[in-house]
Amino acid sequence: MQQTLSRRSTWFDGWDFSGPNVMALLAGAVMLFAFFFLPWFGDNVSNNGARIMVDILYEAPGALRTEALIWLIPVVAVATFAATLWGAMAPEQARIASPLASLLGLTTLLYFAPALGRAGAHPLLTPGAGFWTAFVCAIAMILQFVLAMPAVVERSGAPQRGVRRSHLPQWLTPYLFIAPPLILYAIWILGPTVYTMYLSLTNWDGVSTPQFIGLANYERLFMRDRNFVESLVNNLRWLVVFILVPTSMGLGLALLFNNEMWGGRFYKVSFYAPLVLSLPVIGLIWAWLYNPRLGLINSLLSMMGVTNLPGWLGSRDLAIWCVIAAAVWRQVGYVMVLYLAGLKNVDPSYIDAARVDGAGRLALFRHVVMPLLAPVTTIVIVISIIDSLRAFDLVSIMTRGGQGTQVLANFMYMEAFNNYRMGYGAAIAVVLFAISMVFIAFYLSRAIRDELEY
Amino acid sequence: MATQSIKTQPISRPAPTSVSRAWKRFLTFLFYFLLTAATLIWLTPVLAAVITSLRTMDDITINGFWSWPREIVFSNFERAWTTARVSKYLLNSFIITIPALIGMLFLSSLSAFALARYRFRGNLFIYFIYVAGTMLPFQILLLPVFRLTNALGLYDSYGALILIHTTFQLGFCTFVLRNFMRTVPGEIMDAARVDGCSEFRIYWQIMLPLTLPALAALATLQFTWVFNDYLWAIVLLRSDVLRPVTAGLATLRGQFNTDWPVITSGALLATIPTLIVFIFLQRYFIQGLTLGSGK
Repeated sequence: MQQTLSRRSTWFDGWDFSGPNVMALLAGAVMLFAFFFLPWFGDNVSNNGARIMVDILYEAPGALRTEALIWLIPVVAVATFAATLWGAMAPEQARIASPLASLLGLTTLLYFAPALGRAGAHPLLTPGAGFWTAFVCAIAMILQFVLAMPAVVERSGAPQRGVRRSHLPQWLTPYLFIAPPLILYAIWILGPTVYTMYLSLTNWDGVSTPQFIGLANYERLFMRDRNFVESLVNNLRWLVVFILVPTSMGLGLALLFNNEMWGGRFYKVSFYAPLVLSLPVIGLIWAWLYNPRLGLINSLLSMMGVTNLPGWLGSRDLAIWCVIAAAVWRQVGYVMVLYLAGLKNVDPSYIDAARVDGAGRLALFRHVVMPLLAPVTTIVIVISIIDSLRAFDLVSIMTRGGQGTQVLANFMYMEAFNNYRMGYGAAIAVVLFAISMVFIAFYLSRAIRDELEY
Repeated sequence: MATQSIKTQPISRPAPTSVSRAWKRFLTFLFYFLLTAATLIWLTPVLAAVITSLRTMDDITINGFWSWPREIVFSNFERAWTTARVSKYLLNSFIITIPALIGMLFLSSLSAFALARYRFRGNLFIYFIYVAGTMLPFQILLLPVFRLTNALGLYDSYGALILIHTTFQLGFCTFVLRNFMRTVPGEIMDAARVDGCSEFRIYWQIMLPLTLPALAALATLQFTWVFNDYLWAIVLLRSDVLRPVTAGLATLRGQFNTDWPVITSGALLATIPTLIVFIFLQRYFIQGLTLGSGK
């Protein structure tokens, strides 16, 4: 016991055992990276390992057919990763994990062998950079088996339970946990956010190399583009309606359904059911309701004797409000659920106390219930704002941005992917981001304050 | 429950006479009548879609929407399922949603565990990066992600969608799971540590089982979110055969331009998976919705 404690003083000490583990860990990580991010077979980027794997697994039409067992590689890499992580963190498990990792490496090598042999036979089977990386990794894992084996045999005689001897320094543990998700997040979310800002200063068209043109995109956007003003106004309308209507309706319904009542569950479910429908489905259904000739609304109106039928989605004045109405229809249920959850957490004794003090229903609501629901209200408003800035699906499905219904999100999409003005689209995205950022910052500042108190 | 009596009458009321009782009964009746009417109006779009999908377009064109159906037909569903390939689109949706779901839950539970249970430099900073990321507008990511998938050869494949959904939802999942994991008492973990349990085992064998309720709620909610995504599907895919059902519906609309019964049938079929999840896992769905804001 004492000996082990003194041996722990430097983590370098553990190398006789955890060295191979760490090596296999690195090998697994590199292998996984090579598999996903380096061209696998040949020089064509589209023949990337992940792509080939997915195509084969799902038998996608037009799939690139190479070795059918290609999915072995990521599986092996992930398993190696897990086995060695396990081994590195709990040395008493290393004697299982380490040979296991090597075995996995062997399996991969077995897969590679035929691919190497038939290198010239198939046009797709010319080993690329990713191939060699993974190949070397597999060999490394076999090597670590050789390296680890003596230690494994030696240790397995005397298992030392109850003594914690991690060979990794203590401070490293949380970073090991957080690294894989954070790296992915940085590549796919954080990096792109910054990169869009750069793209907005270029004239990228999606094909050629982006060229730096300074603030020209923004100048055009703010000075000369009418669509931009229209989108901005529509987003503002959307935002105002979203803050006012679903919030008040949702709150009202929540207060109503918070009472025990006969069939309350049925009514509640009916009101939040639209939440399950996807936005394209809602868009299609509502477009049918708004159909100027046969739709439910206009045929009802004409039955009632109205002759001057409104065109709904076809009319420039009404279209945007029609789209917003469909969005509100979905949002009300969401807000209601949030408020219902908030009401459940309200301590009944506050209400009883207020009632004993002779508070009327209105006073009770204004001075007791609303302040207690304030945190929920904040979140509801933040969600409403974020959702209204994200508004895209409904506009895209119902009007494709025509009839004066353009919103920033759809405007950006159309400029970038229909007109191939990607640099310009990026500028719109940055403006949208800047607007969102105001509210994100507001929310974050509150969250940080709560967190520091906690 | 809590605010039960906000809407009910004040307690101090004179003993009910028969007149007031009858009046009260009438009011109750009126209340339920109005509520039922409001509910039906609220559900009109859905009901209209169901009715439309069971009729033929000729029937609607000739007799109008507000007429008694001449006949109930199921051929619209058949056409949507096979001719419009909704079956294929639905399969694609599952192929994209399920790996993304597993990926995001596993990865976010890793980061949530570290953020909730360890003190280290940058802990809060990383947490707030995730929180901020959940509220980003998608448009800020579209172009670079489009470029990235092209550079990696993933453009126009399932892999691209799986990866972007996994990573984008990491933020929300981490946020929810981290706050949930903080509520787990630390004594359990300390006890395990004293017994020589490794940190990874603490995560895998102690924390994850205790987090199952939150994981279930998140999985249910994220299933509907990823399943219902439309934007990424049209940005990162070009081939019609790979499209998930949301993007497929847009194709369907172009294809069956004015044949509304087929379009609404397709829309209803596209809703079935999320509807099943909603019906059977409703409790988790609601929990999921409120988890993110419950704090």
